Amino acid sequence: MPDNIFELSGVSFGYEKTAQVLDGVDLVVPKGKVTALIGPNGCGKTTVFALLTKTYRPRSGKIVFDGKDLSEIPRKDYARRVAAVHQYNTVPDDMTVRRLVSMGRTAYHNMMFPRATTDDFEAVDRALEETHTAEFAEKQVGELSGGQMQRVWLALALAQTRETLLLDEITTYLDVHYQYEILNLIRSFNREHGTTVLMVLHDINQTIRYADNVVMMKHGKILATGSAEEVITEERLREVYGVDAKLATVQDKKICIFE
Amino acid sequence: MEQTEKKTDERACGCAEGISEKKKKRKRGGALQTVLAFAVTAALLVVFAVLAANIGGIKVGFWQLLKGIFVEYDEDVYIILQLRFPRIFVAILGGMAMSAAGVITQAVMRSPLADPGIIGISAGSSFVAVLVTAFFPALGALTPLFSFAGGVLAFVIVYALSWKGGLSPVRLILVGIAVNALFTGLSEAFNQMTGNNYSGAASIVESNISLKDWDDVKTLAVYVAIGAAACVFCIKKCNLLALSDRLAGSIGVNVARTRLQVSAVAVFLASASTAVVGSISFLGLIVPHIARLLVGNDHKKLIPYSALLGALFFLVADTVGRWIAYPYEIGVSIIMSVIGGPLFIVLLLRSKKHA
Repeated sequence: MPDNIFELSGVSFGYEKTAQVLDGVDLVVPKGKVTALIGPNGCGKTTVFALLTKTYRPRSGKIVFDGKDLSEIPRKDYARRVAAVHQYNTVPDDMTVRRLVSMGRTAYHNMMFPRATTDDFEAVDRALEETHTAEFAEKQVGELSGGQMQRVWLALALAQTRETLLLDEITTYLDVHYQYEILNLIRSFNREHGTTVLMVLHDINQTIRYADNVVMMKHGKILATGSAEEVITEERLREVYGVDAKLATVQDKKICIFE
Repeated sequence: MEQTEKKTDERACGCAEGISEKKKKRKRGGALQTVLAFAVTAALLVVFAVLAANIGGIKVGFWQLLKGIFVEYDEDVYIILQLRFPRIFVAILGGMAMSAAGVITQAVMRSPLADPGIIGISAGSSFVAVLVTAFFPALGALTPLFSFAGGVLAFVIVYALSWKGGLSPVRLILVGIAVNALFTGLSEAFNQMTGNNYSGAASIVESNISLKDWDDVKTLAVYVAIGAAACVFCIKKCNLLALSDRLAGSIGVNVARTRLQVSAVAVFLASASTAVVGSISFLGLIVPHIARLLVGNDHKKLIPYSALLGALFFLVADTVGRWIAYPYEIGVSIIMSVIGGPLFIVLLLRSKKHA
């Protein structure tokens, strides 16, 4: 069994023929770890995410998932092993939370004769419990706040699979309380079930606190990979984000303060 | 807006339960509302079918009608049976097919403004149906299959030209109108070139259902039944297509393939209806829209209810056309355009995506 869940080599991609968004990305995502993908806006984080969720195919280069070429894995098989929370989603606003979360079970169904099994009900109930969305499971999604909705998306992913989670800026719409709650939840999944997590993050302090492995990107390239300690330095923050930041230690925890 | 208001309400009176209960009742697609919608629409359909059977020179009562059909021969009933009944059934079946096609097209294109009658699919299938009816009248019951090919052609053109990564509703409408104009023009040109000599073809061009007979009903019924069976397999797919493409993709749906399968069903239904009834605009737009307000967006309810409501809507439109200027008749497609045009503008203005 390979140690890395994803291995990208020389991956390039562009939405338009002329512009290159990713330029020869080499990246490994270790199994069973929480990996954070950070970098300024427009650096290609979300594009990497889109390639890993099979939304797009790389223009050149190769993506390997668990030892196999990603482009050769059927979508359904892939969905049983990798779940994603995307940044923007649309959904009819009169769908109930429970129905939306049950859609995470699609990959386990025959498309012609879909039929829910006990496994499905259990997985959905469990996901609703764990994300604290069970209390409004019968509400329609149009009635929810942004924070509630974000937890519903996570519930949908958890109902789908616990093996690998890809999360694109999952804390964006949440207040501080839920930001940390959802990150704690994600880390507890990683610690208890060995769930591999790859998340796109914006917050440097959250990255330091929650990521075992950090990948820093700039201009469609990988700038640095390693532990938070190694990757996040004052010089790099200046180079990548153009900000003056100080790294300090408070109560044994490293924090980043912006000037 | 609404969300924030609701929250303050809940906090203010501390009776969140009561409010959300009440809200639920007014919400679309509640169980009671759905049952009511189905029951009332079905009842109205029966009422209008009887009314429609009674508009014209001969009038019979409901019991006389039943007696004439099942018990003994009655000349008045016989005439009604041969002349008015086929027309009523064609209206019902055509309305069902066209409205279901509308819902499914909207799911595929993820735009509430997509209507096979407006974006040229009907016009494409109508054009082929006109040619087949004029040159190969013996093909009769197979006409819908050929018109399906015309519908597919129009669909492919519209889809290819308006899809750019996603589908812009404005682009869809613009391309659709152009394709619609092209095929409608071709049909009419053919009709005039031949001096309206092919009456069967002319009735399709003019979408006139006044001369439909039981053969037309049989043909339409067979294709609508096939289409209805196919709809059953589309329900789940339509619901999945309502999610954004990347979300649907990451939960394991092959979006492109699903979209293709579901489109085929929509085009099939629209073409079947068009081959017999002719091209009807706005039916596939207005009916699903009203249906969404009444039973919600879940296709399990939305597709059957739209079909039922479409049957009622189309039958009423045809009946009104027969009755309003009696003894003259206004074609059902004209009635649909007169009602549909203004409603379409209202929907266009209300559409969030368009704004």
